[in-house]
Amino acid sequence: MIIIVLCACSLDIPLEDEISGNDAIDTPEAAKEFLNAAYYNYSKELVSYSFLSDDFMPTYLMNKNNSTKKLYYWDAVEISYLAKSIWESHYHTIIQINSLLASKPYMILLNEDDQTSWETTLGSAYALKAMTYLELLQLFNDLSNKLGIILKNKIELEQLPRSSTNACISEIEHLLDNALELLEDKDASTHYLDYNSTLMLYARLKLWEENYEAAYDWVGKVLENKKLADGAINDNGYSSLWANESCNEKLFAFNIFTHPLGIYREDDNIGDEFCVSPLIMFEDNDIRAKYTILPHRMNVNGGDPTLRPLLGKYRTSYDDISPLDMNYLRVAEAYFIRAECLARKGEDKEAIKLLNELLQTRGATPLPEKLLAGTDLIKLILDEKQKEFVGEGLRYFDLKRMAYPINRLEVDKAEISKIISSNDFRRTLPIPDSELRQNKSAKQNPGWDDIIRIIN
Amino acid sequence: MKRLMRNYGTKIVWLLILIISKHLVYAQQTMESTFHGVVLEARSQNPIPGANIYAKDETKGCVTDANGKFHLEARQGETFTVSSIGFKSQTITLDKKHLTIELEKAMESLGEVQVVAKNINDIDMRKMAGAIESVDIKKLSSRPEINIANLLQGQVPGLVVTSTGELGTKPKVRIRGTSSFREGDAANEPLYVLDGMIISSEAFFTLNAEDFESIKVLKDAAATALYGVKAANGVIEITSKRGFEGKTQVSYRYNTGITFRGTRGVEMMDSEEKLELERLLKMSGTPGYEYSADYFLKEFPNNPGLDAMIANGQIKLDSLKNINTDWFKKLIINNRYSSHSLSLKGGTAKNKHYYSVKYDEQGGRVEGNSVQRFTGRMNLDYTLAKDLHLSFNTSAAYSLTQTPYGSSNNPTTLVYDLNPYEQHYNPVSGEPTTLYSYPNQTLDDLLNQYSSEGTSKRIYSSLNMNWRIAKGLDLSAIVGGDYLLKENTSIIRPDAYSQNIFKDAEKGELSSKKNTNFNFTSNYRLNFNRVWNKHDLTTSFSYDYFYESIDNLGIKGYGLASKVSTPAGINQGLEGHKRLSMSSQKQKTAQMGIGAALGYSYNGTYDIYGSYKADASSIMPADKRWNTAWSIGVGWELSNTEFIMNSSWISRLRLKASYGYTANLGGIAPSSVMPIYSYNADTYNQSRILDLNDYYNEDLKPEQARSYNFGIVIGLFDNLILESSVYRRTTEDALLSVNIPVSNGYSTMMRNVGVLKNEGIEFRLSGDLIDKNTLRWNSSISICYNQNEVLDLYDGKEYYSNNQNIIPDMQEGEPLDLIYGLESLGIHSIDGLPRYLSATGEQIDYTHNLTREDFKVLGYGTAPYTGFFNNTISYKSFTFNFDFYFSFGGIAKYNRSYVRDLDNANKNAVKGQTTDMWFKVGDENKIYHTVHVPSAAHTIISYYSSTKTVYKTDYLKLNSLSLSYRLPATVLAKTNHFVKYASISARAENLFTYRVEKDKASLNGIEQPVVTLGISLTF
Repeated sequence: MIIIVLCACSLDIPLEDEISGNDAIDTPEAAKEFLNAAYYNYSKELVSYSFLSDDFMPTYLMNKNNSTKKLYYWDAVEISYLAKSIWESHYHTIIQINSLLASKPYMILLNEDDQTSWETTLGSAYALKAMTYLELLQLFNDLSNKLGIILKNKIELEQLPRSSTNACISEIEHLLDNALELLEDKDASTHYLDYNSTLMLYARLKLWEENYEAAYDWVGKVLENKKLADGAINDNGYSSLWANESCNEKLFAFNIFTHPLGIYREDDNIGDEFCVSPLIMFEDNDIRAKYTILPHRMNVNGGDPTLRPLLGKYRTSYDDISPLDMNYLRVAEAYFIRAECLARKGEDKEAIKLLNELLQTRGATPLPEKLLAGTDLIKLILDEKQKEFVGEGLRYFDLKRMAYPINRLEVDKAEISKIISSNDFRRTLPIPDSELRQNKSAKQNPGWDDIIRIIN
Repeated sequence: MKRLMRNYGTKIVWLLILIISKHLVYAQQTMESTFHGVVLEARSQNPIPGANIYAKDETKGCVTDANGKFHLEARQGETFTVSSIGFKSQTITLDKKHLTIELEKAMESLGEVQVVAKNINDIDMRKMAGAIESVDIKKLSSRPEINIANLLQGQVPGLVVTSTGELGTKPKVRIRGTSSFREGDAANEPLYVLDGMIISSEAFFTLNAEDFESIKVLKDAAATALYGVKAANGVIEITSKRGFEGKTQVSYRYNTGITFRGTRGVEMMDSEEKLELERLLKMSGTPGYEYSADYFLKEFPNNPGLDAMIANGQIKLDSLKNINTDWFKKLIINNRYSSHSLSLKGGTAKNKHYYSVKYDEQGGRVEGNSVQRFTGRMNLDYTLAKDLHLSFNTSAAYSLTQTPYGSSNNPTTLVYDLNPYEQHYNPVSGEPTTLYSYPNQTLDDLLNQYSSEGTSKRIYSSLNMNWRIAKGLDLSAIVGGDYLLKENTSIIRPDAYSQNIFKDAEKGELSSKKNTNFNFTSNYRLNFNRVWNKHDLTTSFSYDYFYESIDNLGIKGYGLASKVSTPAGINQGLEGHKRLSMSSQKQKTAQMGIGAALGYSYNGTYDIYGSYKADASSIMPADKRWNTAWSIGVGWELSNTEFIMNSSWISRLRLKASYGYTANLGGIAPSSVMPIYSYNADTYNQSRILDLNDYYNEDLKPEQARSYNFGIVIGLFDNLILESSVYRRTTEDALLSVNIPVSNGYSTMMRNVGVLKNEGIEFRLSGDLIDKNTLRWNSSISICYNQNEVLDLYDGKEYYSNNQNIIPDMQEGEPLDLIYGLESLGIHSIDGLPRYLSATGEQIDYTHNLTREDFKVLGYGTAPYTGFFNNTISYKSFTFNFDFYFSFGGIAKYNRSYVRDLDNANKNAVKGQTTDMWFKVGDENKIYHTVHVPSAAHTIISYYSSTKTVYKTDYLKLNSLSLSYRLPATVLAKTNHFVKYASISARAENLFTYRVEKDKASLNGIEQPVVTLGISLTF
């Protein structure tokens, strides 16, 4: 028994299934695995953004799903549910990245490879944090452009006020600068943000900020490194965008285990709740038609079954639900941003020429040189951008920043049911109650106060 | 099966007889003779049946019969101790052949029985000042209860046991209410200690009640301070039976009985009413509507065959009305219970032994649900030297539980879903019929979905040592180990209905788990005791160490082969969310404690007691590892003072008071105080994902609880005892997982949030109501009040857990489980929606913006008053017991899930819904609102309570009723005194519950009545 007493004296028993302590992340490998958690958890709501934009038209099946229908018609309550989910998820990602950044002092680097690996991870983390902030800013920034989002740099519990829009922009730039410095000479990567994707993010930020000169420059840097193939129709390259293959056009795509269109699809063979808006049409030669539109025979409200243009991205047949990477940043966007900047500078011909470069690789008919000018030209560029990016969520942000009125179509009819006006308060998302209830320093966006109180 | 057991039972009995006859031979060789006598009460000269007469070493002895008579095999001049509960023991010497022994009544209250300490922490000084109650486990163990915790209900004031009624599930045990903001067992359950070793609550619930000598319940700080912080919620100490010096005594007990269905939860509709409801609701897919005239008139108004359709529909409806299937009787079955137990005890001066084995099985409410258990125990005592005693205890248990249903399609809920006009089989064709309540499925599809089988195997062993080092100085030690292996396999067969939508290769589901838990305890105590003049001083020091190792492994797979029901049949090639997955948990933890205690008593009148304990756990980081607890108590025995001795109505008086402090981080996971990372089963870019488990709080402090207890014991007249305690416990820095702003990345965090108070008062009055000749009626009644209150919240005056709440979940100055609601004015006859009375006195509906003032307090969710009334009546050889248990003062919300709406009116509904529900304009005085509720009204109607949607949960329950008959000595003499004691008994448990207001809309919480017959023999 005495022997047992002597053996029994230690209480320092380590955990076996887990790693604990502030110094738990102390190798580049662990850091990479922790970064994986941030990428894995990132809320990928691109299809929801498309839903709120004019990419789609509802089919009769949407009548059966009350909440999806309300979301399509911009019901304030449904939007607030979406806002809550996005806000909570993005801040979770931010805390994960903050924890990763906090492990800097504990990192043990034994050799060159370790150093490279750690810098890549760190750079990618900065870029992801910037991307998260940028998306939050685009969604929650109040319409008067004064009040931005909450900037969170620590892990400890805080009750922070919303920072000004300008402060948010500076912070994002600061993060992007850090990322660029670290990622400059590192290998390219599809599933993590790398140097070129970060340049693309910078361009998006500047575009949103309406600093078109800077956007033009940043996008120029992207195009120096990554260009769509000259001249010939790039069928192979384009198809690998929608498959788990490496592709020159993909700057950054999330690696996911579900089908990207998962949430809005019915499980049986009847059809989808939405289809591509009939106002979006592709020419027969356009290779995008095959990959964007999936014709599927479905019933129609008050009519006979016909082939409906369902969203065909990420699937080759209706019941194909195999997991595919979800594209987030593509080279094509650089073309449109640059074209828009050229148009704003007054260089209309150059703008159209650039667009035609892209259209050629798609097999579409080039646009005539003297087509339009001024705001009409910008609208055309954005419409072409919509054609390219149907279902990928970019249209929503463009509509928002250009303050275009947004059309809501009738079910199964190409008629306008409702128009969301340019100063509708719903164009910016509400700060969720789970933030405001416990945080008295944060303020709600105008117009949302009563609604958040009624539903909660 | 029974016959098999009887065969084996007989074989074992014969084997034991062989062993016993050897002992018998040994006994006779030492020239003993027979002594006769009678034991009487000194004052009344009434005989005392059931008195114990044992030799000092507890080896040989006997028990008096109904007339107080006994005979004893012993040698001349031997000394024996005569004792009986309620009387002062006496020592006698066998100097004559016939003895008359008179015992005096001892004014010991039921709660303070003196038991020789067999438990290392059971030191005498605790009893003086601490609140300790003893449970008469010997009387209770003869009850046919497979779960030892249910035996404790209604036995000790302040101890509340709530059972779910579900076979094999753990009941909820609480001592003196809850003093934590956090719910659940980890933060609120008491500590269980067996023979000085701490055991888990799961292990406690598998114990065999017949193996135990006594159970003590420790309620206040002075009583629990020796166990440290783990004892913050009270302690239940169990001591097992041991052998004695003397002839080996063999006991056999057999119980068999039936468990009945129990009461229906809710009275459901008959066919006629249900069909009418379907018609009123115009529910498509139901026969009540689709065969009704209303339907035909609406769908086929111009059809020439309309009249014929209506007539045919009516014929169909009439035939359905005649079918009235009682699903409660069909699906919930009566089942049997039986148990056999055999024990052997005996020994010599140096070696004593106690062996026992028990087998029991109980069928559940539902076909296929059953538990079978086998336990064995061996307790050996050795006296190695004059001052050194060793005990060695081992026990093993095996149990098998079978469950034929999972969480969905549980027959206990199907009882309320299936329509009365539905049948299992069509009486004409014999084919299973397709149901309306579960469209496209037959009853067979619903029932044969799932099966689960679990076994648990446990072996535990401990070595106990007691060494008297010198006069007044002794060292006790206990070292033991406990190993538990639990295995469980659950299967959804590939041909089950729920699997139809999957591809063939993906049908079926199997999950298999193996959990092992090993723990090791060691506990050492050094006691020093000195008595001089009128002073009695004791000091003790202790050290304990506890180590636990958990190793769990589980797999879950899909795509089960139809003929193989083991993990070998899983389709390992599936991908996506149906891929084979594995779960594992490995954890080793250790705890260590040191303690000291001091007790001083003067002249048996004044006592003072103090203790200190410090515990550390390996789970916490080093700076948060140590927790402390200390207590002091005083006691004052006034029974021997002049005032009491001269009083005619007070025969005894004792006062005691105690104060204790504990600082404890119990129930907190390490991930709440420091960053803990673990690997996710998923991957990103083909590499692992490492994630932070939880939002941690490095500033987390332990909860600090201070508790006071004042107790008084008064002996009234000669035969009544009144005991009362008043207690209060204040917990500062109480821990709770609270909402935080989500910009911190998480929505909740464990924090120290405030101060909670828990206080109450307990009364118990017990004694003999009748005590003459051969009739004795002993009774005890108890009532307890317990209430908690939030004294302070650090962040403001209120706390809202959910953003929907207008009323806070916690407010300063109010109890935790207060239920708020609106004042309801009933259902309005125009729109069928309820109306309420606002704070300003106006009538409002759902469109009104509710404010805090509109809500008022409706009552308490936990009933503050509980109590029991236990009685034992004995007359000659008969003993009759009946126990009541009651609780009042609480309310709960009606469970309206069986008031159907348009989503589920194809299922059966509560009786009376057609008459009590609003259907059209002009319907007045209805209880249930319309089914067409606008979405804006949902919150006010279903989320908030109102004066018309809550009811009182007061009840009075007849806990148990039993009658037993002890065979007289004359009958036993016919067996040549081979059988020393025999009794037959009949018992009934959970017979009847009277509820002031009824609502029980599920079978949970309704316990099944059990009636058993038993026979008990001692050889």
